[in-house]
Amino acid sequence: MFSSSPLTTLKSSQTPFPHFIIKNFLPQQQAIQLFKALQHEQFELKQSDLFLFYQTNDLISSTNPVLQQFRVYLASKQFTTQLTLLTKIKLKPNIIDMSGTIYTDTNYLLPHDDQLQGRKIAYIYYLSTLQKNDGGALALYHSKNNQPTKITKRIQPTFNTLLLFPVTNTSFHEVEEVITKTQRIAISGWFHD
Amino acid sequence: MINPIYTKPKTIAQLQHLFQENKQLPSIQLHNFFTTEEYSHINSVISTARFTHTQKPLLYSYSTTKTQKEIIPYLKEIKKISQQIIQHKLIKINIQIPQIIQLGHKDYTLLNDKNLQPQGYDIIFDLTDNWQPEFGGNLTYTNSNNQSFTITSKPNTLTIVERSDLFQKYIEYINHYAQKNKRYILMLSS
Repeated sequence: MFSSSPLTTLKSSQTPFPHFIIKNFLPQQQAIQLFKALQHEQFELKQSDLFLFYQTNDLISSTNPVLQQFRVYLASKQFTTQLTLLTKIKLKPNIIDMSGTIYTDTNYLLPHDDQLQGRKIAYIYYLSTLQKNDGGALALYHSKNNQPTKITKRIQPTFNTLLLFPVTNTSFHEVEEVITKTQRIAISGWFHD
Repeated sequence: MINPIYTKPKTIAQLQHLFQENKQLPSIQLHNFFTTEEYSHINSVISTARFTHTQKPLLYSYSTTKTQKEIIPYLKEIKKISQQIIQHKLIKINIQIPQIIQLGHKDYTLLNDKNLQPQGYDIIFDLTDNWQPEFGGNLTYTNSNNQSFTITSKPNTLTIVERSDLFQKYIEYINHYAQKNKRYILMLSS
């Protein structure tokens, strides 16, 4: 069974928009198990004007028990209640999008705000670590009149770190291009209301 | 000034026919469009122009420059042959205000529902030398059924596209393998 430290004492970073970074989210052994489980999933290349990366189907369809347990844990009433206390955003338990993503050399996701009906909180759980010279940072945009203007914060992926941010009309972000052979591996999705 | 082969009536007739072959997105490419000397001249004018970077993150990132007087005669030639091939007057196209775009690493354009282009023509002259397809930066026309047509970069090539309102275009993100290389595109759109 998955477990993590209580979220309620976490402080959010406010700039350029509210977000939470939770280091060592899971006990190390569970994070490694999850990483290994994800390696067995099928990834498909996704390509459009906005992005280029590899993604699994929604992990609700995965038959891997480790991935299923992680999904059940994040979607649980226990976890979503903590998130609601933390963010003051009402969430529906057991409704969650979740897929695995891999960004390889030259892969990217250009600026967008994630807004789509029902999406309330975005999350990214990193299963690899990239240094600055690998690229792959999550870049957060400052905005003016609900339009992104410039990047004011970059977050490098760190293994076993969970990143959360409320989806709003100013939550503009991008995944910067990976520029080395180090893969950016994560499980990500959205909590819904 | 243009490759003499494109001035022959028989060639024009063939190009008119070929243009209509792709029923979904009528289009044609004319390679080696200007003579070598003329292409070198226009290329040197554009590549030495002063470009200014401009960005609206949800729409585009690229550099532009003002129209150089020296390129106006070339644009006249481009418009003239385009009209012959499509067999229409391009009244809405003003050769005094082409879009001259320079793209390098991290540049792109994006599709945007709030910024849809209406039906019209795109006349694109490619001035990009030493470009590899793996750098990205390809021009792609796509529709809501995920059908797409990609135009890879080739220097001294004129591309004419009759754009229906179902097809929208974007320029793919340019990745780090491009290094310091730049793409140069001269575009007239209606």
